[in-house]
Amino acid sequence: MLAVAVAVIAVAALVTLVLTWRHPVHVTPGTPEAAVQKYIDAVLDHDSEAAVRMLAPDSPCDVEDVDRAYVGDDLQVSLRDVVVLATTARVEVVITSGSGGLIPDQSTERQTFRLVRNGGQWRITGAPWPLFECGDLK
Amino acid sequence: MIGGVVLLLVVAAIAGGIVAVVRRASHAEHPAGSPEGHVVRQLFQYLLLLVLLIVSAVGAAGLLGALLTRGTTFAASDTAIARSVAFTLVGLPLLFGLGWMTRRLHAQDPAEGRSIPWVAYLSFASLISLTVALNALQATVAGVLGLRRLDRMDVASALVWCGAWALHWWLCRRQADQGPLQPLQLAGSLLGLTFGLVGLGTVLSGTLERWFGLAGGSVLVGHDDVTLSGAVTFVLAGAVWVRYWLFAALRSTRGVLWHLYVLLLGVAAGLIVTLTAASIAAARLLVWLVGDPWTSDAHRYFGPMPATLAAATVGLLTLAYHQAVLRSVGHEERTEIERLRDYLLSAVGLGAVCAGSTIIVVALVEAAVDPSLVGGGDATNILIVAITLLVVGGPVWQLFWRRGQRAAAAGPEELGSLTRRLYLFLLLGLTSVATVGALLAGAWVLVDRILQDQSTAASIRSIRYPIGILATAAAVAAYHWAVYGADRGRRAKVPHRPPSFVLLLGVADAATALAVGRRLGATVWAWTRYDVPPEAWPEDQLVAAVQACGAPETVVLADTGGLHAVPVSRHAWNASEIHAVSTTPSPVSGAAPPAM
Repeated sequence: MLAVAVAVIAVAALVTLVLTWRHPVHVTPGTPEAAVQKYIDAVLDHDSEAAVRMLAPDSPCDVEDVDRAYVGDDLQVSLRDVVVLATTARVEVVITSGSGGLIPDQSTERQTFRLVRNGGQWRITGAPWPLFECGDLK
Repeated sequence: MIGGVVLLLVVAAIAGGIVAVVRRASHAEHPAGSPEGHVVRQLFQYLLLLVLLIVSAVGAAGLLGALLTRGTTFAASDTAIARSVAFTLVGLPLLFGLGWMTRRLHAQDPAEGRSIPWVAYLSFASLISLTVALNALQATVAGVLGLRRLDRMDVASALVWCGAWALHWWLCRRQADQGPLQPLQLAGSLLGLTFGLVGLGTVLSGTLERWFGLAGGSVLVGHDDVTLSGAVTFVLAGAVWVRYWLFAALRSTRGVLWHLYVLLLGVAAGLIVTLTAASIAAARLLVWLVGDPWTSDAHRYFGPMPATLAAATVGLLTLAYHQAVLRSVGHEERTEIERLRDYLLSAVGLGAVCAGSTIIVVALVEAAVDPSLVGGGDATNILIVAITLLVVGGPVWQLFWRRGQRAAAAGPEELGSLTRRLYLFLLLGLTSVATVGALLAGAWVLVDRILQDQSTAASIRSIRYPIGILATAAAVAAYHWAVYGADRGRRAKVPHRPPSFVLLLGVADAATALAVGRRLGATVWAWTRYDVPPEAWPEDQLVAAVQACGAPETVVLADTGGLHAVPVSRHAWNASEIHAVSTTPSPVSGAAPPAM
């Protein structure tokens, strides 16, 4: 009886997971969330030049800052909220990091990316995740 | 190159030396009367074998990993390669040499294979290799399925440690007597059960997140890999559990260790996890519905809810399964194991009730000294937590405590059971300590506040927690003192059964024993003691000693203070021990036993 219960739970869970499996979405190009996605993709690919191209010109961060930033391998970024105000925008994401080992050690953090429209393109201002301390160490 | 050859020669010489020493030791005659030396040799030999196994496996896995990652961005460092080479070159020859000697020893002396150090070696080697192999295998399978980055070092580690585990699994299967391997079987079962439940809980948690719409928004980067990694863990650890529990431990002798595993790690741990998770889930829901939640964002507030519900579910499954296993043992009479389970789970429920009632008393004291707090958000939330603990813990305590109370009312066995008395003594001891501690802390804080010229209300509020603990501990202590008193009263009323068996140990001759047997109507044996001169005590004194003892089975012997009657039981042995003593002389009812 209990074996049946465990089997039912396992099968129902797996079916649900497979049916609702979430692949990374391709957001509309030219939107703030597309700029954030492009920036995070570049950071995870260790393509610092591409990442810096997504930063606003007045950002204190440069290629060396991105080179120094540490990002784990097992990472998932979900979109929480997007607020657009004329030439500025705010994109909230949830970053889940950690491995799915024998004992999962996941951690979740919320990050907000602030963007500004620059020459018709959305660019990230300030020192966005995972940088935090651009320029201070130089 | 020359250095490497020299190093190899040195290692080979050391390995040969150690093997020769062990071989000489194994061929040497064991001098009579020095079994300690034999045991010490076994201890060091198998400890060395275990260390060499670990060193060799770590080295081999490192070398294989370096080979697999060669040319990739994850290539092993020079230091890691140097360590792996050293471990392999030194460890493997020694391991093979010692392993070969061990095999010869076992062939020459079958008792060697039954020795405790060898069984301990098998158990530790199996468990260590199983744990490392499971971890590496999970990472490898998850990597192959694309759920995480495939690390080839994990692949190498999985291959080597799975091989080590398989070798020891085969060695364990060859053991003629599987009984001493029960601790290994139970430890393997625990390993599989724990990680299997963690995997199932992870999968369930991810599923509930989707059902409740808490899985978050669109994924910008990455996959839902952790949840499916949980499925991999569940399958692999489940296989370990099936191997070690269903096909081994479940079919093994159901002794003390087996029952401790089922009771403590199955039933009690399952109940504790279930109660804790259910309490947290219920309190969180009630605070959202009628209390003052810390945020109005339902996504954030109920974010941890799926994990909590998943923990409650896997805890409940563990509890239900192990309860079913215990029921399958099927004793007609209430056994000490069942008592242990009932009082243990009763204690768990009582703990939740005590926590809830303490919080309520604290809230009442706060409300009494500062009525403005009543109806406040924090006060409501605290009250909800307290009521949840009472609602969850109360029925559990009632269910299991009533079983004990019903059994106590039904017969004297429960009243005299060690488990019930221990339960009562432990509770009384804990409540006494809590009472004294709360009194001391309360008095200290109260005097301190008075000396600081604080108001009466503020002073009383500062000791609300000692008051809460004191009130709860006093109530629990009073109730259990009453139960203990009632038990003692009922035990005193239990009529003494007439003696049915008496062993006169060096205190009577044949004629006296015959007379004592006739007067008591009991089976009487008289045994001679070689350590004291033979002596026949007066018949009246012997009869009085037996009657004063009041036990159905008694041993009477003489010491410096006179006759000493000891109540005994001849029925506390297991079947093999009864068989072992069945060769003792048959009793002679009311007749003279073998003469002194």
